[in-house]
Amino acid sequence: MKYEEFQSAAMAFMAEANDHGQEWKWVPNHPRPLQNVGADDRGYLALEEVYREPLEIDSTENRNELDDEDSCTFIDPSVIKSETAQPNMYRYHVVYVEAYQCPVLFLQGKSIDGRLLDTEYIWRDCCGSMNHEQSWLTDSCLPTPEEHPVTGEPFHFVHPCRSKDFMDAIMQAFLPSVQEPCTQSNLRYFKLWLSVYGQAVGLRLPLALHSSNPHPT
Amino acid sequence: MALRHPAPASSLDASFLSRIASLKLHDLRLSLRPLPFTASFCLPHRVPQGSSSSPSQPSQERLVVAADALDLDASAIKRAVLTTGEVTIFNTIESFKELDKKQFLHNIATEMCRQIDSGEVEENPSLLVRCDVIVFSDLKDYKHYYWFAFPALCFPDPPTLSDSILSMEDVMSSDMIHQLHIGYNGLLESSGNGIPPFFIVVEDKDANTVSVKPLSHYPACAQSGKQVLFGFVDHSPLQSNPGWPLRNLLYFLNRRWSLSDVTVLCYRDFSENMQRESQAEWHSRQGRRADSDRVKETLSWELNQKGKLGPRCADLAPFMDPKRRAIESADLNLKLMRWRFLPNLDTESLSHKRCLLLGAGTLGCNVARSLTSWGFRKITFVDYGKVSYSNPTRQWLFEFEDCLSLSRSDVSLQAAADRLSRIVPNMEAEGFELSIPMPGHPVAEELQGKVLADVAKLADLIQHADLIFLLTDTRESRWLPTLLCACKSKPCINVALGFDTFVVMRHGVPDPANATDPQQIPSCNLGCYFCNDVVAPMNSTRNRTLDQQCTATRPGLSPIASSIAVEIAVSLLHHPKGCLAQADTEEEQEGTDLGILPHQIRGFLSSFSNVVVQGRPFKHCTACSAVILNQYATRGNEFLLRAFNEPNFLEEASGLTDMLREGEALMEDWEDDEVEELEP
Ligand SMILES: [Zn+2]
Repeated sequence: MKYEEFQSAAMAFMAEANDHGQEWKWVPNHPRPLQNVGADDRGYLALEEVYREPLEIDSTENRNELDDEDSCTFIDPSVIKSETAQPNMYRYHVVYVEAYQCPVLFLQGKSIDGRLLDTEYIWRDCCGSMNHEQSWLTDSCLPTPEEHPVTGEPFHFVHPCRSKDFMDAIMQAFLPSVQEPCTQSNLRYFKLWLSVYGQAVGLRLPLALHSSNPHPT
Repeated sequence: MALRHPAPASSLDASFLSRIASLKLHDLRLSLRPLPFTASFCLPHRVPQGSSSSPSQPSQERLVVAADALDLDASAIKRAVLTTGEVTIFNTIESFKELDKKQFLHNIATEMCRQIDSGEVEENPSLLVRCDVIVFSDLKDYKHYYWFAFPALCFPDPPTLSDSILSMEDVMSSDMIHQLHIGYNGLLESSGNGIPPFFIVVEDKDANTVSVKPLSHYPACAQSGKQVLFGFVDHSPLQSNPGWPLRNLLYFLNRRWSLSDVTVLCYRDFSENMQRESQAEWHSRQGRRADSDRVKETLSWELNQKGKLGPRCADLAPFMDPKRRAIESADLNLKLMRWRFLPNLDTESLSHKRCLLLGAGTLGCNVARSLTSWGFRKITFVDYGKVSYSNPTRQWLFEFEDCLSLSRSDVSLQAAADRLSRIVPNMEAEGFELSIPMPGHPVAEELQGKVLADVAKLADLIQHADLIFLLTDTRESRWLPTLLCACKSKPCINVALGFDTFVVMRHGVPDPANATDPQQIPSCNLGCYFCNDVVAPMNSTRNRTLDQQCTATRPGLSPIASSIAVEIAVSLLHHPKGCLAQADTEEEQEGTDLGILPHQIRGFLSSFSNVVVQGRPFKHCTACSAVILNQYATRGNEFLLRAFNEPNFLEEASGLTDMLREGEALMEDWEDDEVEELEP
């Protein structure tokens, strides 16, 4: 897939997804003077603030000897204390990576206070729910830490090495009966790719997106 | 009902902390000058329509502190309500801790009251939406302690709010609501960076018009006799509870304009750009407040993750510290292995196991390498002075330079340890120069003290190790460690090489199941390196096929044998019975998740084959038999010295001599059990 094909497929996908209530954004690449990355007219696709219930984890991980209740014994009666644990936030970015010549799925997990979730937590959270038939997918899709290629932030990414073979096979299987225009097949590829690989890392596309067919045959 | 609001929650971008740390280091240094910064309110999420199970949503009002929070004139104009406030960066954890938190808030409240009285607030209503933070950054460890405060001005009695939430449709005509939206959007257009959190809505019932104006227009509008409502951009995710800034607005209205009964329009917008009419909601609430002559108290500090009053800690080391990043990526492979294949793999515990490598030659270097990739992080080398590190091509932890300092073997040993630490930053490696006393090597009178000190040191190292690898290059030097490991029931993995053959075995330990006399050490569950011998180590006259006395070995042999040794060790550590685990064979196995746990592996490079064999403990073994262990246990150093000094002492002590005398008939008994002899 060429970058231009990616961008047009991503734009088309975004419009469709937004119609179905999932607010993807197109983010233009910002220059990063410190990293010597110049501006270009490219961009990436982003879905921010996807909430997920936190996993049950013993709270011993927060070693903090600074709890200091003596100096602040007042509790504000006007504050509604939340009863339930706050959800975690995930960000999903689809970035075209020149080295792989294809779109790559990046994700970042944060707790509500902004702390980054670590790799194993993300595995358990996003990939742990896969059933047996899907485990082959998890095996090849475990996200690993990687710097975001545009923003430089610490993200995780799904290595695209196996996606080409798999996608070729699946595209063959779903080949439409009539010849379709290239843009259409790119969008179909993009949707299929994102729904399969997104699913492996906890990203669910709106159901309606799969059934929607802008060109019914 | 009393005015109650969800707790505001800080959401801190890690890059903000990095900015803070770098500012502190380069610009602020010891200065405690507070820096103004902004946090932006997050839009509440509307539960998507038609979704049966509502996805989890935060129930707190989130304030995001982004990387550019310190750039007050950020080039990208933010379409969000921004807070005002300051970040104070402390120099020490103590000063951070000892700050009088109550006084700190009191000072802020006093400042806010001054701003109200001086008229600054109506010009800049964001002053009422304040968010302050204190920070201590441990630059060395990339740890940041921070504590947010969201100052709320309190009345002696809490303000109240009408129970009923009126939708705008109930109070205004649709035409007026439309005007409201247009007016609000006009206000947004005219404001610069950030959206004003408060504004006024002027209603002219006669003319049927509504207009939206900045807060500062209130006195003039009130004088003209028009109905004035107070608008508030509400980010609360809770349906019936407006957000925390409303409290300060009510305080302000009372203190500044003596208003105690007001109508508040809460504006909630769910769309990204805050201007889409279709996604916005207006609610009307009545707020009521009595006098506000004095501030009773100022609240409130944010609770930490544990729900307690205390700072939060952000540990950025895994992302920022190059060392930690190297450590994380080394661990990643093990984590992947655990995740995909071996959920019971305890990689964490491996990193805490202390490995003692007796011998730092070719085998020692290769075992260390395998241990390192398995995630072991505590490695101690022991070797003696005369080892020649002359072959850096095989002993990969040594370099040519180390060969030049042959006279200082401890320097070289330390060099190997240091090199391991350079490969993995969290490696704890050390080296000890120690000459292992050997049977058949008589100890001169004047050296007795030193030799016994070496014995004590070796015993101590074994005592404190969790895993011992026996990798020395002579047969005799394996005797004492074998004895000591058996006595202390420590797992000992023995590796010996021939030219193209090797043996890797785990030694047995005294097995309580074999106990006959509670006063005596029972015999071992499995054989040791010496169990197959009918001669004590000092009489090594036979043509040895194993051990590096025969220094010519195929170069690939040592890495193969070393890797197998470490794999056996890992399996052993994962076996619930540990050293007492039975010797698995392909036919008969208990095993672990990793597969079978054999006793010995013998490898033949000439045929590229390995054989799993089991060796029974020999009751006259000169190193591990109960009779020897018990003699050492009772007689200690005296026993050892005789073993070192007297030829044939061990054969006699173990009963081997007697047995040999009894002749062939008896020998056949154990020869059946003996594993086949290795031939080169
Ligand atoms: Zn033995």
